[in-house]
Amino acid sequence: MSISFLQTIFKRLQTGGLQTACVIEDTEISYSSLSAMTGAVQAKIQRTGSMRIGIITQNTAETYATIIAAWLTGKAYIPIPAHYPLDRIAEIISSAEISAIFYATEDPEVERLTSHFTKIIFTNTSDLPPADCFYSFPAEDKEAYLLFTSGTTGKPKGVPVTFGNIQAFMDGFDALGYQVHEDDRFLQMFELTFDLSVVCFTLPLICGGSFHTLPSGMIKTLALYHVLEENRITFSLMVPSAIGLLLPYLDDIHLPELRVSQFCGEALKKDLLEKWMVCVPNARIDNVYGPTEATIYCSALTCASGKIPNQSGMVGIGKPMQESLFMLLDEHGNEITDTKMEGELCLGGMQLTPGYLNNPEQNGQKFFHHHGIRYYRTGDIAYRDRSGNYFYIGRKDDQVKIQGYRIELGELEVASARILPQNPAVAVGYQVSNNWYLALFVLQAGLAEQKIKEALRPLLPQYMQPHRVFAIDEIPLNANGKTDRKALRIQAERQHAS
Amino acid sequence: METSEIRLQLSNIFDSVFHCGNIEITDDLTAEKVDKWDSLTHLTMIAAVESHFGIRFKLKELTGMKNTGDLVKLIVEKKQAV
Repeated sequence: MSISFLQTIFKRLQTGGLQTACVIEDTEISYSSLSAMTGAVQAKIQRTGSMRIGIITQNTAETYATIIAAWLTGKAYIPIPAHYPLDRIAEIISSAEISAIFYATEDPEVERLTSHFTKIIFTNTSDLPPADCFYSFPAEDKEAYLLFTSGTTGKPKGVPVTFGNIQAFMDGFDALGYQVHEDDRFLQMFELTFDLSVVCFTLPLICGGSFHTLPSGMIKTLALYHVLEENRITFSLMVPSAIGLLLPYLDDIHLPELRVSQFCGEALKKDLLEKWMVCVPNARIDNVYGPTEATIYCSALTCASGKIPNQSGMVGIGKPMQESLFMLLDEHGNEITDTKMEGELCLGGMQLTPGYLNNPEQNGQKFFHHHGIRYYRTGDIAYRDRSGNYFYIGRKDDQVKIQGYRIELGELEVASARILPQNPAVAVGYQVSNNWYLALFVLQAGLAEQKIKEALRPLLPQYMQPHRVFAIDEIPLNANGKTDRKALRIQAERQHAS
Repeated sequence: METSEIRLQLSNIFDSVFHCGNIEITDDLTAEKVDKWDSLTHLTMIAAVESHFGIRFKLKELTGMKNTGDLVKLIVEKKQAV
């Protein structure tokens, strides 16, 4: 397999000239500028011994140039948000064996890292002299990025994705027929730790268009609307909760230039989608699906007004993309071939990660072979209809999605045990007014809610922090003697505003 | 309605949305200074403000709002227009 997507980006950087490659913080960056930044960082990256480099996730053109520079040099990048807890960053640095971290702007958070991780070589990319970029033709099985997802034991899991995985995604994307071109302006609303970001900045650079990030200092959902309208975005990929939050104001939104509107990362509700369709009268609307382990997304469903395949109001996740395979397993591990029968969704094909980083236990549990094909157990429960479309029903475990972020409740419980080792805790995801929240119930907690929240802050990323912490006298058990999370969910919903 | 009275009432709304004790409503107060002030809680707070003061914001007004001082000004304008 040739890694043509990267060759195309390389050519675009060389020939794109003054055409806009990206708009960041209201500043337009041309292809030639991005190319010079990329070349500058490449020269530095080439001198680092490690196969992976860390990148501080700052909203600057240099950050994106560093990712492309890593790829063109045949190395993988690991996004590192500087505001993450130090322990978590230390864990990422250690397990990914990172020796060099690149950043674009000096700020107090970066300073905190440079003074803490003294053995790491930090490079300020904005200090580097511009240079011509070059291409090293990475092999398809070489790692392109490594992302860390929430882990049940409290330790994040590293998911490596190869250049071959991304190429398979791009081939599958082409087959979906969006016909992206040089005049397309793409929304990039995702943090770089979220793999949906990869398609949002890669695709524009392949087709010669531009990507547009959300300005800092604004409430994210409002910044999203601002960029969609002001930058006349033509291609967007969003999490449904982003527009869900704008629901009371959808009448104010009219985006006739948006020609593709994709949703991913969470269950998409039909009634929300119907309202959104009015805002984007000329858009093809697709619901796409896929976990990080299967590279960005691996299935798609096109929805039209009056024709939204759904299950109890939840929009379907469509058919597998060209390079992906779907299979459903029943509770005994047998393949389900009948339509309408629910089972665990398992994914195979060229987009599938080689497996978690240094984690034989999880690899043994989550990956398996069936008729010679390697599959990944998603933990998602789904069924297939007669037309071949798949429908997501729910989870078989305690994983929740909050604003698109995948959270293992066990990770919050482990963090709680670090601050209150004598007080067992149960985390639940709960919904109020269509929005998802996280609550932590702590048994006989002698500490006030605010104190527990403050103690958790240095231990977990912002998106994993509980919205509410409640003290309880006993942990409710269900008929099977297991923790009754449903009862706690109901209690959290009731006490949310208390 | 006096701005001091609006600030007092906003303080109660902020407490009920952000659950982090008494928040002093100053003109330069922004999301960065309050724990858990994100998209979700911001729009929850805005909905609570609309309901409490019996007003309605336009999306453009919300995107132009830079800090709590802007919010107070908008509430004053909206209340005067009612």
